[in-house]
Amino acid sequence: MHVLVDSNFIIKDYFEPPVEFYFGEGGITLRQLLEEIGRRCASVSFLEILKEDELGESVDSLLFNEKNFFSLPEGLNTPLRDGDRLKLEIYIEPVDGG
Amino acid sequence: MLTADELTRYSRQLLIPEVGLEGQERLKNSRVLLAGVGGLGCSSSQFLACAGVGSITLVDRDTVALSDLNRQVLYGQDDIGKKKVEVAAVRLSRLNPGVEIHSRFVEISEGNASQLLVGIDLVMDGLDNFPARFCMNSACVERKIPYVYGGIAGLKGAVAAIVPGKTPCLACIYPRTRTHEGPHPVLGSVPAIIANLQVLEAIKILTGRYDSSAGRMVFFDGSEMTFSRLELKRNENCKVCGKEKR
Repeated sequence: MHVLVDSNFIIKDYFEPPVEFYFGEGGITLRQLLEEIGRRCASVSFLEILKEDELGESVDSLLFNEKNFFSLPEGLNTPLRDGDRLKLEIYIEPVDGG
Repeated sequence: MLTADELTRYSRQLLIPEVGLEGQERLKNSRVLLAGVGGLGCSSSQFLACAGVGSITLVDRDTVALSDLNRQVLYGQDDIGKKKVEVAAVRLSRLNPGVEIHSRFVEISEGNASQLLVGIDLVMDGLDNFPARFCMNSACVERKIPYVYGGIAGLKGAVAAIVPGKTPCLACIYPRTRTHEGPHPVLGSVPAIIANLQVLEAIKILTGRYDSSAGRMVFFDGSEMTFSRLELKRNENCKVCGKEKR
């Protein structure tokens, strides 16, 4: 099973969307996909993709097959199917002093 | 052409293949505008001048205050109350008399940002607020002038080189910001670190050595002593540089 993930950021060598995530087994949920993305982004310490049972504060928007994450009845427990598409946009906390 | 004195003054950086004679001549012919001569600008201006950037225009609306002196290293106790751009111009000319220093005691606004960029090759961000940064970002996108963003917050900082038409602009990176209330917490060494990273990016752009295929953003966290790097994509719907603006 593969899921296509796109985003507005790249972490060179670790997360270079658009990227396909392959899962050899069934029963994978959106939460597990986001956990895997979080692991690939671990070098950027302030990026928070997941926060316990909700989206992390770095997530600005999340579209699952073009549907807003918050409209998904099963939320993070939404099961993934072959060919699903995810669009993850992050929000960077402004650094404004000088 | 570099003079004999310049060949000696810059001899150590001429040895760097990424600079070399050609790069040094490019620096000499470069005109940089420094937007803000505060914590970031005091450090970046010194290293731009020392590196041999031919012309530096300082823009700032402030006078020196006692509370600036923990980080704004171009100023001393005797300068309190004086215009920053004037004190800085004297100090920088002393550092490198071969560099032309211009001073503009004005506040950057939508009304003057574009005009300030006439004849400028690159803008260094030394500002302390996003409204002024967005004015400068828009003007730089309009005039296709590279803009090296730098920002600090406490022990953290961020740097991004913005090359209009190639990298995301500041409005792509920060589509939403918030207004900071009260003075920014700052320890002098943090703006110095961020400013010097900005100078490095600026010199690469000015010498033609910058790979601008992606919008690199570097984050520094002084409490953890870590650097993180993200590459950001352009926002096609950006209100400043998006497809509707092209």
